[in-house]
Amino acid sequence: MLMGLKRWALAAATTAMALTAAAQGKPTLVIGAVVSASGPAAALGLPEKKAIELVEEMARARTDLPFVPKFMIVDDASDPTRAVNAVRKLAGEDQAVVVICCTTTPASMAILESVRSAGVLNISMASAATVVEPVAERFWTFKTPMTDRMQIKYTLDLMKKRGVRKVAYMGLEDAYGEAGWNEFRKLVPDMEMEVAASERFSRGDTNFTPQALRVRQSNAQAVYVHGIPPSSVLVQQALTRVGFTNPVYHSAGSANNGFLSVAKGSVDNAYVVSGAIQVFEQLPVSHALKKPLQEFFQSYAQKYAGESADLFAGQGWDAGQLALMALSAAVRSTPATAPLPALRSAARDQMEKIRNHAGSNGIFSFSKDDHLGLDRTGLVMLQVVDGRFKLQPD
Amino acid sequence: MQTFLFLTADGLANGAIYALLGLGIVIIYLVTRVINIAHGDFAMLSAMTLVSLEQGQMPPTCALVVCGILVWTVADCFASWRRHGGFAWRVLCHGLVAAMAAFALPALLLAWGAPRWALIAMAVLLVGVLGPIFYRLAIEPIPKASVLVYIIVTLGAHLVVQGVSLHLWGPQAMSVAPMLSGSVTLGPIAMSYQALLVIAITAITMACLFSAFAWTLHGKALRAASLNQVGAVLCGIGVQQSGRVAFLVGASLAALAGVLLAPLVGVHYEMGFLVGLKGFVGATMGGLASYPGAVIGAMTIGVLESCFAYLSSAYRDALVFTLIVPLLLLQSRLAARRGGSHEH
Repeated sequence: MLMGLKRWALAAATTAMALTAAAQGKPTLVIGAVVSASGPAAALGLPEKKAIELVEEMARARTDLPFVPKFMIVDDASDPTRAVNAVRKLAGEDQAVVVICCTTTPASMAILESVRSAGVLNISMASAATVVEPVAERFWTFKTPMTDRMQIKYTLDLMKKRGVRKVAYMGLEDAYGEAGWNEFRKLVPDMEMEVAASERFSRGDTNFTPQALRVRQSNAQAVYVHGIPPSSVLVQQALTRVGFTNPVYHSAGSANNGFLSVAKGSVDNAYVVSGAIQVFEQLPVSHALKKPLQEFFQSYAQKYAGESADLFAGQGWDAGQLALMALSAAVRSTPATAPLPALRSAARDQMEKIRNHAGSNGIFSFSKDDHLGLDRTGLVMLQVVDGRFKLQPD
Repeated sequence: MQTFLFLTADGLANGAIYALLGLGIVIIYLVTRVINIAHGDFAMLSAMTLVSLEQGQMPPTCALVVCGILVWTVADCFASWRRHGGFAWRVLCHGLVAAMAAFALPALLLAWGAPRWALIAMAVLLVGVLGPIFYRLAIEPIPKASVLVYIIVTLGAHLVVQGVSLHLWGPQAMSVAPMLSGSVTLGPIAMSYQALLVIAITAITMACLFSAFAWTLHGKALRAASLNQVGAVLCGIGVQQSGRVAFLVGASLAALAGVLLAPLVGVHYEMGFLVGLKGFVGATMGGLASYPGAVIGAMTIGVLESCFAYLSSAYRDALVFTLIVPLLLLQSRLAARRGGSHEH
């Protein structure tokens, strides 16, 4: 009964909105979003959801959009099966023109087939590069977060610039660490550098000295640690203990407050690669992302008093903005009477044409061969100084 | 040479932790025939409890203990009602007093602003008490079950404890300041005071434990119950009573291992299982039947693990756990030659 009522209310609301929209001569278009607002990935999904709601609120206030956006946000409870069902419902029953899905990599991989068969533009907020690669098979899928490869490449470039030739790898022995190792292994020879040692550790380990000894004895000029706290901190402590004095670089998995709070001052001088959004306050005014990030942080803080936008909110923000941009261009380029499949296909084509859009992750320039489209603008190197992250000048 | 010293020193410090856990596993196994898979979780709980206490919060462990005592009391009241028909007011009073104490003691310590050692002792005590509670609620209702059934019960307990801890403390890792900070240079290697403290405390604890087993009446009763349960009962030693004591001792040892380990590696809800498993492998090395055997086995595991990690870090855990297969084969050979088995 309640469900029936709700549905009636929804229908009434939709009709009312459609009427006002029609009065303005603008069509109402549905943008579906599937986020993990509960379950294990909720820490990522909740800020994403909030950012998408913020995008919607701001879009309604805008008059320059050629359509009225209607966001439908569904919670997949961190479960790929529920994500698939949600996408099917959004693309079928709800006639979404664009789908923003999903928070996690497993869910984003699971929905690939549904997205392709529905022929609907999908913007994923998951980190793995495989979500959009190979591009030929991911015709309908785009994504916002930068990948491990970009971060490792950036770190290696910096090392090389500082004269490092032999670099050691230390990584977690799980999916995160293996993905990092696979990229690292391929990138190092390409840059005419040499892998001095490759060591593994796990979250439950109690002793990191043996691995640290191996790295020291390999005469590595620098070490790259692909892990998350607390183990990334313990690795660094073990390296200090065995007398390894060369620089230690950490992956973005350590670019968080957990790294600093577990370390309690024991990781000073460590380098951590990170997204610019993490140190938004420290960015110089000349930085290309300073202004867009400022706008994002201000409006986020306005809507959610006492909260601050983070990396994950940034994914929701970018995905929402990109969806609006692609849709606006699609509506302008197709006749008003175009059927839904044509509009969807136009939205996808327009997405590939987006150039130089400054988002929270960096500058997006998509193309036929690049569905991530990020350049290095969003990447920064931090150094731990007195127990705080400090932005390193390039 | 220096490498070898480093590996051995760290291996011994870790081995000391495994030894505390392995010893508890052996005591519990000998007295109750329970192989406690959830043993490492006691260590995790005590580390988490210490973190809460140090932050000046009431540890959620208190709630677990209070709930456990209350359920225990209700179960005892019910049992006595069925047996005697009357309501056991005394049992109820005891239970309520114990529950209040479990709540009031940490609250008082926090209000008083107790020194660090008192907080550490409190964490060990709270988790130690969880041992007999677990035994009373999960093991006692199924007496004389097979070893396998008990393993499955403790495996279930491990999953529950880990899930509950994730809920209570969250997924993030926390850190604990070392009890002794700084380090000392012994020849070519640097050892942190904390690692030396771990080895020292383990040695002292073991000395106390061995003398208690050798010279006190309770210790002798516990040994009797582990050697021959029927004989022990005939001598007037309660099997249930000794089971509870065994779990109290075992859980307290694990809790001690937890607070000693916490400053070395940080605290998070998954930290217990792997450590407990290595303690178990160490205990198995000693045949699950001898206390010195368990200690030597655990120390060996610590050093071997350290060396394996140096040789091939990707396979270190696999190598340590693969050890258990030849060990078990060897032991079953030896047992067959002696003509006996562990099942008394």
